[in-house]
Amino acid sequence: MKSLVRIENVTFGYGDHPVLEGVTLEIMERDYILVIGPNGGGKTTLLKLVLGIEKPWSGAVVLAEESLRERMGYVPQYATFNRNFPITVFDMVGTGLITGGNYLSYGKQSGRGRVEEMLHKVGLYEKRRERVTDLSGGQLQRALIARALVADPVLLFLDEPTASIDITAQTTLREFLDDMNSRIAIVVVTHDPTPFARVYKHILCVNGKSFLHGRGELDSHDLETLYGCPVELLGHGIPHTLLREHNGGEQ
Amino acid sequence: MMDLFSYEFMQNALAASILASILCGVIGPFVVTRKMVFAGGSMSHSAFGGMGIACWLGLNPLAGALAFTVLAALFLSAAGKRNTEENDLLIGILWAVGMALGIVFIHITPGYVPDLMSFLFGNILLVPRGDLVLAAALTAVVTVSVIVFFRGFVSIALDEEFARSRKMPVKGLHTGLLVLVALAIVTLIQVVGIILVLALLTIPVAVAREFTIRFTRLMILSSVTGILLCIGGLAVSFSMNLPSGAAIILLGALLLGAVKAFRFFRK
Repeated sequence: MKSLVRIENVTFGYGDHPVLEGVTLEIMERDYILVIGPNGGGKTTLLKLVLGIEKPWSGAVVLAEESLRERMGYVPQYATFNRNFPITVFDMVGTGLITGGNYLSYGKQSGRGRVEEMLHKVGLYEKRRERVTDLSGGQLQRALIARALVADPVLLFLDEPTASIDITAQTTLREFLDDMNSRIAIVVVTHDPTPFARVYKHILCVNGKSFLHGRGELDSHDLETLYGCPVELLGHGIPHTLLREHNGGEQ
Repeated sequence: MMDLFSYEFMQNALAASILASILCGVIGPFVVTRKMVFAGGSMSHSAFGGMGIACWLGLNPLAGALAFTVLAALFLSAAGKRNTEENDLLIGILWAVGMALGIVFIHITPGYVPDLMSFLFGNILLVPRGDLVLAAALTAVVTVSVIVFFRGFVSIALDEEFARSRKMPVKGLHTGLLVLVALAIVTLIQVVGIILVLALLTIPVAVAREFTIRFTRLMILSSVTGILLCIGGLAVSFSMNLPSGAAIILLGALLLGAVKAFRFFRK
């Protein structure tokens, strides 16, 4: 599989305080990575670095090709979205087509078909004329995913997509992402890996530093004790190979 | 009533009302949705400092207001990170320092002291033709800029984080929007004065958003509401001999109350 993004020994922080130190990661085509870790550990910051929202203090984020810059979809944390903004579902999804390169010339009609296709895909076509405020939590999450997918990304980042949505909506979301993963790479920041337990390919543990694990390297006990993740389904039983580094020397 | 408009001061007042109303619609929705109401308040109050210094220098107070609001916009953009405690502090300090500067400079201005009340609360019946030309030019600049950068402004008002991920020049757009708000404020100050500017940037939007779910319609409806309020307030002010700025704002508050009550009882 082809590499899409390489994060090479990246250090970054806010003010004088480093949040991430020496982080290295490679995201491959059709990868499915769960990013877990404690609050303030740098999970969202890592996404922002890959997306180019923040610039590393040192190290580099290297894209396989520059055109990837505009082919990365992003679903920010649900809670940060301005739900009271006066906009229809259709128009909100359409904003996913606007970029720094086209916002001066972008015409509303230009991506109409693509927006309709995405709304069908996430099951919100019937809601397209409704105001975003009127959507339920699960529906809004799907609309935000449609906005991220409308520009046809090859890499999709989701920040806490299962927070604030019920179990049914979580299942729908997971099935949808599972389907998308046959075409695109997915990176999910989450406090709760449970909904993705059957589908992920790697787990990235982030707490200042980062540790990438293949499927099955961590068991539910590791995740619960080290990261406070409420895991029920990750009982793989394979010994955790990096406990020493995680636990500051204790195993 | 129509005879009234044969007077030049009434024609000027009407023209100022229309210009202010256009700005209510063009810039007000961005101020509200991007939660810049108090940044706007800070800029408008800092204008008082500029007006005071302009009076002291013997210049047109509006020129001072223009310089200070634009400087305040650039300062807020450069120094403050949005939605932070630090930014909140800056807004408060700019607000108070602007007012203090204005009071000091008007106090030390020798000879004729301009009418403080008309700076603070506006007097639409006293807008001179020269100021009207400036207001028209500012309205044109703000309107054309908003049309050109519309998609960018909507993107950052809707979801700044997502806009960043799409490589939008968020900082530049934010600074540009602040400067346009500053230009709008200078025009609105003539109608309702420094203290009441915030109401004209917010009440028409609050009324309009009860009737539409689309941003462009919100802009149009806010402008229409602004015209109703400005002309209605002008008529009330003239017929009841009340200060025009306060009449416009109170009429707006009544209209908003009526719309909210209508919505509430219709549910």
